[in-house]
Formats: sequence, C-alpha cells, structure tokens
Amino acid sequence: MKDTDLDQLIICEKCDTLHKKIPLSYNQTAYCSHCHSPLYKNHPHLIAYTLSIALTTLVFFVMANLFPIVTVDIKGMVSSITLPSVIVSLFEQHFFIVGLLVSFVIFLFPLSILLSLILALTLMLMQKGEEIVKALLLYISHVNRWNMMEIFLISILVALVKLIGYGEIYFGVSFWALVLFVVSDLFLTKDLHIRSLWEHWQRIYHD
Amino acid sequence: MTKKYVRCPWCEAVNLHHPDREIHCRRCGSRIHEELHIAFQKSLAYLITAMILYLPANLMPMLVTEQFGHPQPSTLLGGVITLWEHGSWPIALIIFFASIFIPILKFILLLYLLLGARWHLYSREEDKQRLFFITEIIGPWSMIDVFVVAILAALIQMHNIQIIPGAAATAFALMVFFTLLAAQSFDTRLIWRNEEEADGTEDS
Repeated sequence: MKDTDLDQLIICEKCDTLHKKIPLSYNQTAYCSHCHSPLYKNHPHLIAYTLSIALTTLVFFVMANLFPIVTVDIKGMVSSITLPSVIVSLFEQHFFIVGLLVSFVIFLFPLSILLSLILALTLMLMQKGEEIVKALLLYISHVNRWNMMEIFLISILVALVKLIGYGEIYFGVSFWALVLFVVSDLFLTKDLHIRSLWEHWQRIYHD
Repeated sequence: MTKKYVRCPWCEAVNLHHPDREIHCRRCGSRIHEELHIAFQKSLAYLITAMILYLPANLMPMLVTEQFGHPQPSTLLGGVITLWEHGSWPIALIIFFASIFIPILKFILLLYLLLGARWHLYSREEDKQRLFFITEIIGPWSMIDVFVVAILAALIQMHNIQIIPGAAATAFALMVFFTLLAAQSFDTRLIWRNEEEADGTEDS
C-alpha cells in the first residue's frame, strides 16, 4: 500500500477503529462511527486561527506568572503566592526532585509548548523551514501530555478549601489569568487543532 | 482478523502494522512501537518501581504542620480522614480518588493488561483498549496532592504556623512520574496480540 493511500485513512484515538477519510465541507467535523469521538475537522483558516489563540494564551500565561494567585490573611498575618514562588519555595525547603518535576509540568513545558507553537505557526504561514516546523510539532506532541496546568488550577481550589476556617482568602489577578490560560490552553491543545496541523504541514511542504 | 494498520500517536498518520517489530512513522519519523518484548519489560519495570514508591508515599508524612514549634505530621490517608471529619467531604473525596483510588486502579489495570498479554487472559480487546485509554486520561490527576502540598507549603510560612512538605511528597511525585512512564511505554499491541492468537486457534 502506498503512502498516498494510507493518507486517506484515519484511526480513532479512543477505540482504534479504522476509518476512510471523506471530504468535509466548510467547518464540518467528522466523528468516529463507533465511539463518536471527534476525528478531524475542515477548518478553513486553521493556522491563522490557532496562532491568534496561541498568542492570547501566551498573554494569559505571562499574567498568571506575574501577580499573586491567592492571598490569605490569618489573624492579621498576610501571605500570598505567585506561580513562580510555589516552585521556588519547594527548592528552598530542599525538595529538589519535587521542585524539578513541578517546575517542568507547570512552567517549563507549558511555556515551551506555547513558544514552539507560535514559532511553528508563523513559519507555516510564511511557508518556510520545513524541518524546523516538523521538529517543533514533534516536540509539542511529545511534551503535551506533561503539561499539567489544569491539574494545578484544581489543586489551588483544593488547597484553599483546606484553609477555610483558618482565615480570610482573597483571589489575586493571576488566579483569574490562570483560569483563562487553562481554558484557552485546553481549547488549543486538547482539541483537534494540533493534530490537524500535521495535515497542513504535509500539504504546505509536500504537495 | 489481523491488524493491518497502526496510528502514530504523535502525528496521527496511519502506518502499516507489524506484530512485534520496531515501527517508525512514515510521516514524522518518531518511533511508534519498540520491539514488543522490550516495551513489555520497560513498562513492567516502571510499573514495579511506581508500586514500590507507593508504599513510602502512604506510610511517610505528606506534610508537617508546625504550630508554635510543635511539628504535627499527617499522612495521605490521615489528611483525607481529617477533611472528612471536618465536614469537607467533597474535597476528601477528590483527594481520596486522586491520591489513593486512581493510583491503585492504574496499578491493577496496567498489571492486568501486561500480565494478561503474557498469560493470555482473554477478554474483549475493545474493552481493554478503552481501559487503557481511561488509565492514560486519569493518570496525571494524581498530581493534585503534590501540588496541594507545594501550594500550602509556599503559602503558610508565618512565624507561629508553618507547613512543610513531608518525605512522602517526593515518593508520591516520583510514583506518579513512573506510572505515567509505564503507561507511555505500554505497547498497545500487547492488547491486540491476543486476538490474533485466539483467532489462530479458532482457525485450526
């Protein structure tokens, strides 16, 4: 079987069912006939669209890192945390392994994924740098599963519930930036966009 | 029916399948599958490491609350029980599921899938595929407890009350890391191989 024939096929991520691709009209999505999870989508301006979301997400990421996430006031003693301070305090308390793991999954990976995505999309728009784009897309798809920002967000809420009754809790600017970051990041990475980029990569550089 | 095609988990391209050899993706060049026996051993090794780490993660203190100089350590299960007693049972349930139930579920599922492939415990491949998909989705959520400890330890640093991470935090974080590696190196061909063998016996 030739590569061109293989390109006509798609396998469902969830249930491993083999499908033959059919052409979709504007903005249509194809779903698996067996388990109904989304397979692929005809998105007319996918690259520019994804790039705009990626840039927005980057703004949210920067904001989420600059300001306090939460502030607690326990009987007049006020303390607040920022995202970097959570990582730094782990190192200060000599928890190097946890510190390293946490700094990767909530800081280095999310940031590097975003920057690679922005660079890859820009190059794709200019139709340049085939190999660089391929390397960047590969990096994103390998590292994406180690991005744990949404889990960190839920953890903040869990930690705050543990503190109820001890003092006053105030949400900082970065908490809301983090919520926005997680929403747009989930939209960006867990939806079809990154998966569909490979098809575009092939179309731009090989056809 | 033998499986003819395999999906590249990195770029989604459909590739020709091989039952136990190394497969590289024709589009992105990444390795889709390792040699089957190597993948099996790797996955089992990571899983055993994670299961060993689960013991200190549960037995040692997860965090130490120091109030007026008196250190008060609390373990994972202890924390869940305290939360339950204080009436925050939704959070107690979340922590219980994320830190105790999910890791054990993952151990059992992966062990079942790995040993099932070795000793031919037959069950429907579709169900196994779905089980594996579920373990991959819920896996990272075990990190909740590590993050909670990190957040509390960063936030509560006042002169008469301090929260310090316990040794279990390291064990627990490593446990999650190794279960994720075990799931990542698990070769889904181990699920489907049984079917081919089962079909073979039916044919003869």
